[in-house]
Amino acid sequence: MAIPSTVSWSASDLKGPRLLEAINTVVPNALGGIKPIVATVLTLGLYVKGMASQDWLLMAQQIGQHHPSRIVVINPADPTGEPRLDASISATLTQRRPTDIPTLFSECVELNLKGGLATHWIDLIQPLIRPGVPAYLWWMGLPPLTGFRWDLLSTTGFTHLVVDTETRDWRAWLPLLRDAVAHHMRVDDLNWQRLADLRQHWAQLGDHAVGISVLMRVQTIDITWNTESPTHWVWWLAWIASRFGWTLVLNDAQIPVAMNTENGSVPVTMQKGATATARLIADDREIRTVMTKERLVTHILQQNHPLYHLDDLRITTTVQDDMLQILNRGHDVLFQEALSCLLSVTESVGGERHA
Amino acid sequence: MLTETPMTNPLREGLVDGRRPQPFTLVIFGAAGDLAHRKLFPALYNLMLDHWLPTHFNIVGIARQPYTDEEFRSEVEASIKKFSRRPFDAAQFQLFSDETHYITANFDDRNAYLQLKTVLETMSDRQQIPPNYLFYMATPPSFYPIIAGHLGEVGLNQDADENSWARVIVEKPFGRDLSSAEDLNIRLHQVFEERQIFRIDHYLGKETVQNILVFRFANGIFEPLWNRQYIDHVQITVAESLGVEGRGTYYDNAGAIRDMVQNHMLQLVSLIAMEPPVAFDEDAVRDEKVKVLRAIRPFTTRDITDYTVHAQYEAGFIDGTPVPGFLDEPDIASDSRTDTYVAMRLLIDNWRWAGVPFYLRTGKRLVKRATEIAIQFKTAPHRFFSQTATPELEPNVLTLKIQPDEGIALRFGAKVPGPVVRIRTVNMDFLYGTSFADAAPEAYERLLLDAMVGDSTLFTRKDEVEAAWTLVTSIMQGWARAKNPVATYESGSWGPREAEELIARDGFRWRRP
Repeated sequence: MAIPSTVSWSASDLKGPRLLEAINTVVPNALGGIKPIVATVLTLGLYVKGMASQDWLLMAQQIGQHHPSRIVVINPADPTGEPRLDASISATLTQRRPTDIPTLFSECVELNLKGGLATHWIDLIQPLIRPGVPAYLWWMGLPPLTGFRWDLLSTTGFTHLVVDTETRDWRAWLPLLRDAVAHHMRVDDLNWQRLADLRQHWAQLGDHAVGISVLMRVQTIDITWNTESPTHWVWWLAWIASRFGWTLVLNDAQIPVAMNTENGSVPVTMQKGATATARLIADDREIRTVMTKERLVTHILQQNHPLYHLDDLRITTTVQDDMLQILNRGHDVLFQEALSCLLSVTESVGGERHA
Repeated sequence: MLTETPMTNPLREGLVDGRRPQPFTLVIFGAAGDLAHRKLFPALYNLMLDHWLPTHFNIVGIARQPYTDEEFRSEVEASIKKFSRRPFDAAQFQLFSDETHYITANFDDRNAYLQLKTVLETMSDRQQIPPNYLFYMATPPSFYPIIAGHLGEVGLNQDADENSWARVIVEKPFGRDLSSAEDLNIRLHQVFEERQIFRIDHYLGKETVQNILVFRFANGIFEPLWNRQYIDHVQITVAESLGVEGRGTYYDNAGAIRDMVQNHMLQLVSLIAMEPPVAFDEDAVRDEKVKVLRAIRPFTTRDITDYTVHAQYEAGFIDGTPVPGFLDEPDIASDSRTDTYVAMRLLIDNWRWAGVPFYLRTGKRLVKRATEIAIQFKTAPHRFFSQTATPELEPNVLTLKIQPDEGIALRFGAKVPGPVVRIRTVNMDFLYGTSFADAAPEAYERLLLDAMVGDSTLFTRKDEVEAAWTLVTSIMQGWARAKNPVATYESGSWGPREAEELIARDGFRWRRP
């Protein structure tokens, strides 16, 4: 029998049990009673509060096409008025051969929540999370206010939290990340994923004897950034610090001002400028990286004489690409270590003061 | 004053997103050939699209066919359009082919190597990149030592300094018996160190083959069962429905035992049977693989008669279409004794596998294309259901499907719903195609990248190649001594009757993949 490639269903003003029933029956009903093989290997929650639907609809569709997953879109549309749930289901089916049982490759469950459900959605979500497989919550909107019930969320079954610290200053995200980590969720950042090429570039510099030598004996670090915030470079500093076992020192505005290394405190300057650059100096040697949208170019110099240079094309990705990378690869321990490095100095307001 | 002391690079640790190689130049000997056009150029192009390649990489092709650089780029473009798994993109191809050059030369012409050296040094100087060279021998094997010798003569065989490298990839077949493989190793080692030599077996680049290691060593539940206590026997099948397909001259000199058993199938045996390596690195993995090959019980003359079969296909039908017999194929000698089918039983004399037979079979013009490893477990020790409607239980079988329908299946018994106990065999299936949507990279992509970053884990080492040839050569010599008539099988069947008898002697039957 020819099977449909997609099955769709929607209903307004639903109760939770009716939604669960629909999730279990919509596809078999469309297949004439055949229960499909379920291929989904994770649940992905998209929290889209305050976002325009066109921003997340396409994303959900594309991820659903590339990753076998149950996607649950949580859209707290309006917290006022009577509680109301409008929902739709869209399932993608595949079939290798006409005689094979169809496979449910992915499904997208969109929840539009109003009234009390818009603020108390965690209970509603819990039965929708597939048991026994990883469950990611992608927090796409603004960071939540303090007092968010991470304790409840972390027991729903969501094991991973994904944010994008490029959307806001990193400082806005830190409280959320700290809370999530405290409740044993694994945290990942799309912005961190996006900086994979910067880390790869610097790892390559570290492969070079002169490069690693300057890093190990660095005496000053100067950074300029040319975007709205220096979030990229903060993550980069936290990564360097965590890899070498060093600690960061932040000022009252939580901007890095020094790095404590085995050789003592290394001053860090961060300022806005025309280009995005990082400059590390050790005695008469210097590593200078210029980051543009297109390239990462680094020169290692000794008294301004070139010793080595590295020129890499930037890797341009879409948000969907970055998310798929995270879903495919799983939690990045390097990010956890860099985050811990940053969180450890922001425990108290303003962090450690720089003498 | 700073001094450079060797130290580890903490920034390398934990990076899983990429192993982008340093800038390099790939020199392909035999660049006008089929392998380069079908596999190598598309693989490189896809690696670039997936951001695995550095900004600066160059390709230099060398072959006898006269091309200009421009003509060569057009040939490469045509190949990528035809064979790349990703669609052709003109702008990306421009980047890809910017530094693609061609040298028309005979491989035994010393001047060509001087010209090559000049081209390489000029590019390195102009681009200010280190002199990293990856030489790919995509030529007939007789040229391998000649090319290596000339590279050595002009000094292209050595790392130019501590931060640069020179490596050579050698295609199969690596020798045609033990002595020729040893001779080739000696001649390559006169020019290159073992760490510089990457002997390619594209099977090891297949995702499903690599998944054997992941399946065994990343899952806690299987390894405790992976031994003679629980495993009854293992069947490895590499079946092809195609014939020699225009490769008659090559195939008539090789046969299934050289073309499939010596490399691909013995690699599968070693991956299935190896002990857990201490690390996933080149020496640890290959040390364990070579131990398996060395533990395979040598064949006596009697064993070769009883536990090996070689055969040729006769005319028959594949998918309803008539096909000729092997001796009627173009470029095949009418009195050829070359094997197009091989089956054998291997015994591995070590603690883990003592008494567990490994049955191998491979052939052309079989009923379907299928490569799989089936691990049959021992039946339940107590016949608990002997008084029921299903007294005989089928054994559990774990099948690792390499191609097509890549995946893993576990066969077990389940109760048929109803008031009596009736047991039916059912399958639990994992299919790559449904659990992972993205197309897996081609084997050559993975292997080329590994060679670029200097990781030889998935390449065969000298001792590994020689251990495999030791076994295979002894079988071939046994066949030559016996001078028995070569068995035959009908095209479109599952092989000769003798193969059925081989496995039936131990009380088993071949699976039907």
